Amino acid sequence: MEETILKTVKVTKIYNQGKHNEVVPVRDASLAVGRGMAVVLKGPSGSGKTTLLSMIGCQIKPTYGEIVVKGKPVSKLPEKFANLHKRQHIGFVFQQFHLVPDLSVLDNIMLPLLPWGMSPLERRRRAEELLTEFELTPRRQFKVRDLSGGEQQRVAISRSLINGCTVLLADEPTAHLDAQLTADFLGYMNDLKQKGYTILIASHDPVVCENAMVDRIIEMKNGEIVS
Amino acid sequence: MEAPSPSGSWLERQRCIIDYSLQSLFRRRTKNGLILIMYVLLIFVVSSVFFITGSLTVELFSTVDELPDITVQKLIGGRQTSIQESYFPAIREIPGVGDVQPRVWGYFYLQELQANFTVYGMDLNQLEAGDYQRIIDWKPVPQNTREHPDFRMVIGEGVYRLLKEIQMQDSFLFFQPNWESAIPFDIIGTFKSETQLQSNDLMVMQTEGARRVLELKPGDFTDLVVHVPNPEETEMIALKIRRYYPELRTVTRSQIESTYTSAFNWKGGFVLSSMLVVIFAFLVLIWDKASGLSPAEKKEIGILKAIGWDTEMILSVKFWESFIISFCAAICGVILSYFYIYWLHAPGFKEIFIGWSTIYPEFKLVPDIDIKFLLLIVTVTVIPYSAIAVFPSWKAAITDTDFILRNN
Repeated sequence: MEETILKTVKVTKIYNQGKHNEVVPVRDASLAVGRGMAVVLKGPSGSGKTTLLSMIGCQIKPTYGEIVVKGKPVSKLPEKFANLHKRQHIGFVFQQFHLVPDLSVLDNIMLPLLPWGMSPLERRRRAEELLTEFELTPRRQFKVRDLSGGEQQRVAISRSLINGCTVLLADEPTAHLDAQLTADFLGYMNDLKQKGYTILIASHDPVVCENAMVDRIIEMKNGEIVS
Repeated sequence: MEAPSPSGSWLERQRCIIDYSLQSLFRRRTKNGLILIMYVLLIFVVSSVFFITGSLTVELFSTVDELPDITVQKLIGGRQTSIQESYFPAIREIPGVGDVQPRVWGYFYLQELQANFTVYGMDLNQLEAGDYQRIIDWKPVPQNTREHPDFRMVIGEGVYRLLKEIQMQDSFLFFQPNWESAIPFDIIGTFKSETQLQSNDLMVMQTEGARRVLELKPGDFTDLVVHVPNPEETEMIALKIRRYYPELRTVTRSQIESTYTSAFNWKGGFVLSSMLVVIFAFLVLIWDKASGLSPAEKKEIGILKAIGWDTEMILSVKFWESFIISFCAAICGVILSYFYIYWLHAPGFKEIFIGWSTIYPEFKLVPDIDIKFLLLIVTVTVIPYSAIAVFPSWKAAITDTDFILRNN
C-alpha cells in the first residue's frame, strides 16, 4: 500500500459558531490520499469542496478535527509555521487564479520565492524552468491581466509549483475553461502526476472526474463525505 | 523542482522585500507620485521657513556683539527727536555706566535709484584703529582724503553694488534740496558679508559729515549709546535713566535681539499658516492612505498571504513603501529648499522676512543648517507617515485570507 501523504480526520468547519447565522460548510470529513495519487473531490456547488480544500491547504483553520500532511499535524499550527508549511509542501491553484494583475508573468511566478530571501539569479532560474515547461516563455514579460484564461491558469500552476511542493491542490480548475483548455489542463496534471506529485482537485466537472489519470473520486454532499 | 532551502539571511530577505516594495510603488505610480509631490512641497515649505529664519538669526547674532548695551532716545510728543549733549555727563555719572557715546544717524533717500540708505556718523579714526577693522574691507585711500576728514565713509556691500551701477563706487555726491551744491564723500571701505543683515544698506561716515547729510543742528545727536560693563546691571541702569529723565526712552540690546527673534519667528509662523492649504491637502492624502486600502491592494495582500507570505513580511513591504516615499520626499524637499534659499536667494520669500528697510539693496543668505532640524524633519514626517501607512495593511494582513480573497 502506498504511503499516505495527506489525511484529514473528522474535520469540521463552523462559521459564526453559536450565532443565529451559524454555517457548517464541512462536517466530520475524513479522507486519506496516498503519495503520487490524483484524487478528485466531487460534489455540487455548496457541498463544501472548496472549504475542505482550503483547510487542507492551510488557507483556513478547521474548527474541529485534524489535518496531517506528510505525517505532520498542521491544522493547529501557529500562523508563522502554517505559512512555512504552505511554502514548503503545498501548491494551490485557486479557482479565480488569484494572480497579481499588474505584475508580469515572470514576477507572479517568482512571488512565493521572496520570503526565502533567494538570490534574484536563482529565482529567475527556477521561474524560467517553469515558463518553459508550461509554454509561457514568449509571455514572460506580459502583464497577467493581458493574458487569456488558459494562460493565466498556467501561470497559476507555475506559481504553485515553484516552491518545489509535493502536494498540489486545485480548486475548480476547469470552471472557466473551454473543452480544449480543459484537456490541456488535464494533460499538465497527468504530467505532474507522472513526476510524483500528489494532486487533489475540487471539481464538479464530469470531464475531470472521468479522466483516466484520476485514481479516486471522493464525493461530498452538504458538507459531508458521502463516498 | 527541488524545494528551496530556507537559508536566505535576514538581509537577503530585506533586499527581496525592498525590491518588491519598489515594484509596488512603481505599479501605483499615479497615486504614489501625487503623494510624493505633495510631500515634497510640504517639506520644501517647512524647510525653507526654517532655513531662512535660521540664516537670518545667525546673521543677526553674528553682529549682535556690536550692538550697544543701551540706546537712549529723546521723545517729544511721542515722536523721537534729536538729543542734546547736555545729557551725557549726568548719564555717565550713573553708577555702573562704562561710557556714553552720542550717535548721529538717519536715512538718505536717493531718488535716482529709489533706494533708502541708512546714514551713521561716528569717529572713523576709531573705526580704523579698533576691533571694527576685522569687519571691513579697506579700499586704497585717495591722496586728498585726509584734507576732508569729515567727508569719508564706509559702506555696506549692497550700497556698494548700487553705487557701482552709477559709477560712484569711489566717491559719492550727496545733495539735499535746500543745499546750494553737492558734497562729495570718499568711500574708504566696505563692510564684509558676515555683517550683511545690519550693514547692507549702511553708510558710516565721520560724525560731522553725517550731521551735514542729515541736516542736524551743531551739538545735536540722534541718540546716545550707553556701554555697561556688567550685563547684569543693564536693565537697572536703563530703568534709572528713564526715572531720572522721563522724556528719554531706552532700548537695551536684549530687547533688540528679542524683537528680531520674535519678528522672524512670527514671520515664520505667518508663512507656515499661509501654507495651510498645502498642509491640509497633504493631511487629506495621509488620511486617504490611512483610512483604508483599495480593493486591489487588499486583494494583493490576500494573495501574498495565500501563497505563504508572513504578516510580518507584508508589513515590511508596506513599511518600506511608505519609508521610501517619505524619505525621498524629505531629502528632495530639503535639497530643493536649500537650492531655493541659498542658490536662488529665496525670490518672493526673502522679502517677507527681511522687511522694508533692506528692500532695495541686495542681500545674500549665508547657509546655516542645523543637524537637529534635519532630524526633526525626519522625525515629524518619515516616522509618522510610515507608521500611519502601515496600519491599514496590518488590518488587512490579520484578516482571514479566504475572507479577503472572496470579498475583494
